[in-house]
Amino acid sequence: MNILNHSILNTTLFCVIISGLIAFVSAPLLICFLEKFKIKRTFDNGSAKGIGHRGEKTGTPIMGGLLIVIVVLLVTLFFNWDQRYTYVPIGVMCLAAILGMWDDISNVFGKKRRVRHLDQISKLIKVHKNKWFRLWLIITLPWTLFRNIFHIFSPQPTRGVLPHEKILLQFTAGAITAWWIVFKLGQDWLYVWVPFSGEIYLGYWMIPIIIFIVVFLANAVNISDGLDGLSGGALISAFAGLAILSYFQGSLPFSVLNATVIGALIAYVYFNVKPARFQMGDVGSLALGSLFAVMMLAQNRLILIPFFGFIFLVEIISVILQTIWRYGLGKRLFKMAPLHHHLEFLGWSEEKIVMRFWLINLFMVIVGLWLAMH
Amino acid sequence: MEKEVLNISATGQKIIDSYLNMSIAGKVITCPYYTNLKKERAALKVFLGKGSAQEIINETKFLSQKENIDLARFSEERLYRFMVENNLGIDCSGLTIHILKAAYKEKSINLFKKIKVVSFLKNPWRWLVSQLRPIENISVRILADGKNSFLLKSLNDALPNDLLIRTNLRHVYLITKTEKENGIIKKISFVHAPRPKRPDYFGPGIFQKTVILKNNSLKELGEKINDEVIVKRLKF
Repeated sequence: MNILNHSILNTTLFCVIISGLIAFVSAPLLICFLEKFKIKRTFDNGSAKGIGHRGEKTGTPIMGGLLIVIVVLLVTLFFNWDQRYTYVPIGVMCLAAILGMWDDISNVFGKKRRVRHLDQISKLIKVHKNKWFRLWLIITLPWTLFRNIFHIFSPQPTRGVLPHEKILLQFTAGAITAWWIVFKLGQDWLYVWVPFSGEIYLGYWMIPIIIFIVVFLANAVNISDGLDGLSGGALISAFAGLAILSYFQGSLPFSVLNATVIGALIAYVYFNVKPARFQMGDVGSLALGSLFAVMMLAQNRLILIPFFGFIFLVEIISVILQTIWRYGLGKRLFKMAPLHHHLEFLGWSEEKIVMRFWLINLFMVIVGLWLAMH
Repeated sequence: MEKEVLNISATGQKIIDSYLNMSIAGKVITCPYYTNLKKERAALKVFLGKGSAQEIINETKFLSQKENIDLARFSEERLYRFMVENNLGIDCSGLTIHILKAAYKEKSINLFKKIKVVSFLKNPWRWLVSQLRPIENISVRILADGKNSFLLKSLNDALPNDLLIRTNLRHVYLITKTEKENGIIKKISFVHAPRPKRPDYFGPGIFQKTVILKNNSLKELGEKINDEVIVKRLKF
């Protein structure tokens, strides 16, 4: 084993240990903090309402993902702060975490917010007595159209961040990632590696692709976070795959960053398995989903996303298909989406679903790593 | 005396029976009435009063599972209430379409391909929606439209699968049986799903009736069923 790789391995494992220990020690403190300020899942937010026995989860603290975000941020700041390689992944993670935190807190403490429908706006434009207000409505009509597109599929009124606000912020995170990868990391990142084939030049088409992947994966991990331990455990295998990949690529900063996440996730999942002491919340799921996307792209292994993030993709695709079936054909494809809810309705226990999803994702990560060797 | 009895096809009758005898949580009930008064769009068709009997049964069970409710402990009336309050039931045009779809399938005719809802040139979006979700877009008005059906000159010409449509196009009855003596119609049987007179009615929503006619006239039929109707037949 050459000295460089030994150094990477040494630092990588050290960061797993250190982040894990810090997270283990901090987790009970965070749980107390969340309990004290009553940042808890209530009955009418999340999926607790949809399934009868899920009422048990009412009162579980949310925003447990803060543990991972803060630990990863601190460990990276002290041990892995590299302007070229870790600024942007951490920055994007923090941006997504802020969005997630805003959503979590609004869901718990906020008021229901509604968005005016287009027909309401057009009526107001015709009849409102104040001509300046009517003018304002006309000027802001494109924004209203944009908002309403995202509200076609979501119920309202709702607490929390509205869909169009989420998309805008996620788009910003994706745009930052795209700028960094395309303009800062180098020309190599304008090529997409394909196993058994070599590379395909995509040039500046990478920009919309990167933005889409960051938004897509952030939401995929968010959607998957529906059962105790599900997304946390799957993310451990995903980031483990990334860490192994970056180790073989000889990239110290990426290897260490991935390892840091693993350590924090292990501690988080320890407290998140059923019965969960806390739940990730959007602060964690959006942050880690974004970070996962950034790392897959930064390590130029875009093609391996369906393998490393297999479970997340399956979950989000089940939601997309259910939506198409529901609105397009007026029928259910699944009893409930995402897929883990459908399996619950088929009688699978929560533990069975979580364990099997972990194993499937682990297996797919191994397949991905094998492909990466070619 | 020459007697002629014509019945709706076996598959059509099977559909009627499926709505009349819905087995839910150990009880056999008739499908309640529900119509989409709120003009909701894009919901599941089973919540718009257009679901098949099996879809309504499945959705009732699914809802009870979601809400952790044991339907076996409900009385019949409570079960009807649960279904209606959760928008589960069938309306007149939904019932008619499901029966006709099965009856025409026997003749290898795809009803949805034959019924014209809207022209593509007139409204491409609506046309696309009607192709993807045909049942939800076929109302009494569409059935009564001259593009899809023609008026029968006399009640005597009526046959099973023909439609008795209220003159204000707000309700439809489906003829299921005709009995003629010496070529004159004497009895006519139909099935329909009428809107309940009371908003707090929670009970069966589908009814079959046989009317005995003396004068073989539409007016007499209208008086006996307390409605003003015309007889139409689908063009295919």
